[in-house]
Amino acid sequence: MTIRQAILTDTTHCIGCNACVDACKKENQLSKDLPRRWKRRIDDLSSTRFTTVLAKSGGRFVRQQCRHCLEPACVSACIVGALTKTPQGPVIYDGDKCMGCRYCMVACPYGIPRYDWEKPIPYVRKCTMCYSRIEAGGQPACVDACDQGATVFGPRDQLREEAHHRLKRNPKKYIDKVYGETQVGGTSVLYVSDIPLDFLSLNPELGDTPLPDLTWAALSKVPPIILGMGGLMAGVWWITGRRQKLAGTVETATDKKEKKS
Amino acid sequence: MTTRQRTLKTVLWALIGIFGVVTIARFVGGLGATTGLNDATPWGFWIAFDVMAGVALAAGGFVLAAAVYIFRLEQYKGFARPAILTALLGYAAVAVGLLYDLGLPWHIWHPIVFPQPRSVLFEVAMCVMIYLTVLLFEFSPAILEHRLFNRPLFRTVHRLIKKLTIVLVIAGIVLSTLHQSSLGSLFLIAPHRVHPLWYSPIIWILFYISAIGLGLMMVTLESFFSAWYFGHPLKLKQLSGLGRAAGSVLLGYAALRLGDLATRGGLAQAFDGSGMAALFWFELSLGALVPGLLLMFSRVRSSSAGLLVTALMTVFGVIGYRFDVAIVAFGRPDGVSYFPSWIEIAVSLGVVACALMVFIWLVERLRVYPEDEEPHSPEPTGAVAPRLAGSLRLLLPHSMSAPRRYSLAAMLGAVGAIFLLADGDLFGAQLAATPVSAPRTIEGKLIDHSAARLMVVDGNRDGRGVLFAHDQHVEDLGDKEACEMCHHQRLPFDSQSACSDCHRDMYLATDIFDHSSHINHLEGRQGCSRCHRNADQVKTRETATPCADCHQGMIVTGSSITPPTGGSTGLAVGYLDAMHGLCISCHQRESAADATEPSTGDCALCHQKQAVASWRHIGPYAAPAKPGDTK
Amino acid sequence: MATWLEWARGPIFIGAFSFMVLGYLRHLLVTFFEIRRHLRRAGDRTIPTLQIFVATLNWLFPLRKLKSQWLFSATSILFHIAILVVPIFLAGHIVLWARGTGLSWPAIPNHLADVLTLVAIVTAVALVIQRLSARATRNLSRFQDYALPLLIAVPFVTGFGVMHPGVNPFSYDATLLVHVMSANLLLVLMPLSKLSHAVLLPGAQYVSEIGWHWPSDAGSKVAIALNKEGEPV
Repeated sequence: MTIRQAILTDTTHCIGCNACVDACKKENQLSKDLPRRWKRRIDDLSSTRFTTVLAKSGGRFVRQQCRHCLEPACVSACIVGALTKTPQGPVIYDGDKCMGCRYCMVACPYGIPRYDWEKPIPYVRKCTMCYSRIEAGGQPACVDACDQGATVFGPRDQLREEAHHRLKRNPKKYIDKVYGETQVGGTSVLYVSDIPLDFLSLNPELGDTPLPDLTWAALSKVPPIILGMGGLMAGVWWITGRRQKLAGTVETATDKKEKKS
Repeated sequence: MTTRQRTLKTVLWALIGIFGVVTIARFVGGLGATTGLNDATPWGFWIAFDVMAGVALAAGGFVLAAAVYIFRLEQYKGFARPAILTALLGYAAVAVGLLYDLGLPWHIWHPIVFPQPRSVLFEVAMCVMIYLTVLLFEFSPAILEHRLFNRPLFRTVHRLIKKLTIVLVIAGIVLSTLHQSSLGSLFLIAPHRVHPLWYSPIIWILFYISAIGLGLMMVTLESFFSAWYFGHPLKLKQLSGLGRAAGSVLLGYAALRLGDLATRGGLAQAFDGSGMAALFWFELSLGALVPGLLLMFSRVRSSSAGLLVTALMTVFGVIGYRFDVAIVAFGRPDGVSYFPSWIEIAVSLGVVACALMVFIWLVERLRVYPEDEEPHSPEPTGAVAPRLAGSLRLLLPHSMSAPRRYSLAAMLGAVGAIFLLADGDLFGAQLAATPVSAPRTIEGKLIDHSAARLMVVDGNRDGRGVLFAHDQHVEDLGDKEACEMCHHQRLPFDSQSACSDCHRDMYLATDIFDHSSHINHLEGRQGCSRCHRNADQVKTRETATPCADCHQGMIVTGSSITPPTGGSTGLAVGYLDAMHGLCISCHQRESAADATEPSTGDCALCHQKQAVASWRHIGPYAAPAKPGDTK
Repeated sequence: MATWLEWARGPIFIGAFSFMVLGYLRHLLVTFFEIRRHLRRAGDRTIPTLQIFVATLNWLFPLRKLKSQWLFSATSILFHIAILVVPIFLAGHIVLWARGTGLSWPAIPNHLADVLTLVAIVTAVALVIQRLSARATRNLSRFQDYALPLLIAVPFVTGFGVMHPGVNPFSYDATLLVHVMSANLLLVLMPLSKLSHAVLLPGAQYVSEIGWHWPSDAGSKVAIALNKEGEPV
């Protein structure tokens, strides 16, 4: 049984040094952030920047990255299984499978996946929690790079306890909430903070229901629809056919009646 | 061949000409260069129109098939075949349109080998794929009737397919039911993005019912088209029957949508006076409420004008529903917007034009309309006798034969598209120019700092500055002769040029070579040959003598600025690289010498007000300046 | 002015050039299909290929004409050489092609280009004068026969001015703009006017030969049309 890993970010410890961003860029060999039309005014995330430090008023810094949901909407949306949730926690992407429909970008409640718009052969780009490093027993590059201990890596259960521990120890400092503990079924990237972090999701009222459940509610009705609709149509066909046969004995009058029905 | 037929075909060919050119642009330039899409708008016009609206518009196929073959409403038999052909071409157009939207269209077959039954999109893809095949079978009798297939083998196949008709029809209905509704289910996963007036747990039922209504009205509209184009008589009696059915379905759709909204307590939002509420009512009225109510009146139903108007309303309204869900009511962060580029619209129009051309082409060769004894004769390709009537005479003379006329239309369309592509810079693919504001020096202080004389330059006068290497600039720009490049004493309120006059862009290399200044210094035209040495060569940047040949020591030792490469001389790096290259190298030098100096890793040193405050804290300036340091 | 110049040799040139290329392409396609259609209906399908080939060569390289109309022919040949070589092989033009497309090819020396430019200007004027001087040519000439040589001279005159700013009394940029725009106009006119012979001339002999291959029943149809059916020719 592999242990489910997670990242805990404590915004009160972040000094906004951007070392995590540099480490991420180095690890994923990302190029320079150039000003492109399609990423203006959203946030700093882009196909060349998988994590970013958002500066908020009052000298607060919040690191944004993929949340690696426990029940990811993007994975359930993906038509070819290019996105997968690994048992260790990361949601990873396989460009060889992807066909570029961008439904994952529609589905993500945090607006994380970004696209290589400028390239003729584009891929979806997002944080993979440095899956290869985790597999090798290491930790993500961003966590490695953080001198301040603002972002730490470990088993999710432990980090959740640690988060609650911090809240309990210092209730005046923190907002009493572990961000990502239960939202959309829980995420593998947790936050504790002294400022509200609702801006990290596209809509503050996300709720705790995993998003894939919403589509499954409709999708699970496919077999009944096939049987029901098929049966109904076959039944109607049989009935109309039989009626026509019966009517065939008395021709002219019933012809008109049928048309009305 | 009537004038209207000729005119429509000419327009379609022009659209196809444009389509050909933008196709190349799309696949060479990539999505960013040719569409208005952005990271907050992954789906745009192509999905909303080509896929969402396209599939809904083709719903007439399964509705009519059900009416004729399942409910055996024989009076509508005449509509079935054109409706099925429309559906076939509509779905083919959806598939083609999708190829443009997919980032990796050559992977379009992947859903077959990597099935993902939990993905709604997978279900849609499978259903559309299978339904396209089913439609081909449903339409195949019309093809097999052609004399080309008048052979024993094909006759056997024909008979077999005819026997299978009912199976095909039921399969078609089931598949349509599934994917028409699933197009709505696609958005179930995005409650955080779709506006509450449009988001609903039963959005898939709403999509399905509205598609049935739309399909019926599309069949009506198609009859108007065939009456207008092929001169078929309008079968008002049957159309009126379709109209009554469509009206009830549309009213049912509107009632369900409003009822669903009311039960979920969202109705208040529809009356809050916001723009979205207005859009909601406009779209629902246009697509369902008004045409549905109008169609309840037999006077409207039995008049061709009433049917045409209600059909157009429904088509625009229900397409509007798809557009709203996919684009307008689809949430984005504040300040991010989406508007389709002309290329997106040209592609969609081109796909529609191709589908329409194929439709006409098939009608001219096969017996699609049962009322036709023979297929409509195709337009003759030979020379046409000169005739002087017609309004478009000057542009496209009637005396032109069909191939000449249509090839001219396609060619003009293509040239127009090429011109538009060349004139717009394939927007988005280029870097957006980010002109920098004009930084000015503070008090003109020069600091003698470990052999490199530095000046503190404060960009926006907010107390944070960068170090400007004055002497390095003097050296780089040509010693004392270059003073006037910055100090020319002709700008009001400014003793010298701003940094941004040369470092004009944050990211892009900038021209700092002053041609006329060089001409003046090299004694007018006599001096041309000093740089442009070879008289037989063109006088360009590339062929001129490199700057460094005269200005020795262009590249300052110790600077981490890498000058733009590529043979061009006279280009300076962008503002960002210049400033980073200059500052960071100094900081590194200093922090290596003195452990108390701030290190380069602290970007916040310059970039965050909160972090290390102001330039007054930067190394040399924090210490009281010695009198000898200031000039 | 710089913006106008970039516009003229950017989008406008691309538009004009693609108009020329696609226009010719369309001519060739339409001609090809019309030839096929004609040949399918023709009664007599034997084509004297060798004779057509020889005639085409004679038209492409009208050296024989030098004997009968030596002055006119010499002017015309020089004119054609100059207006073909200079635009294609001028170093300055090749640089523009290299900048836009990355393609380049060997250039002629600028001195040779200067000479050829002057030849083009002189022969263009001479062609018009020659055309005016004889009654036969004057009667056969249309407006475009006079206008086109003079229009062709415009980019050469302005081009010479651009290359020699010392002798050019007008502003460099204005001269260059007239140069580029007149050349663009010529590109657009190429598939529309008699300039189309630049590409279509090699096929002209073949096409006119095909034109004489009537359908086999053409004669009787004409007779029917004239109401002279059954009458002896």
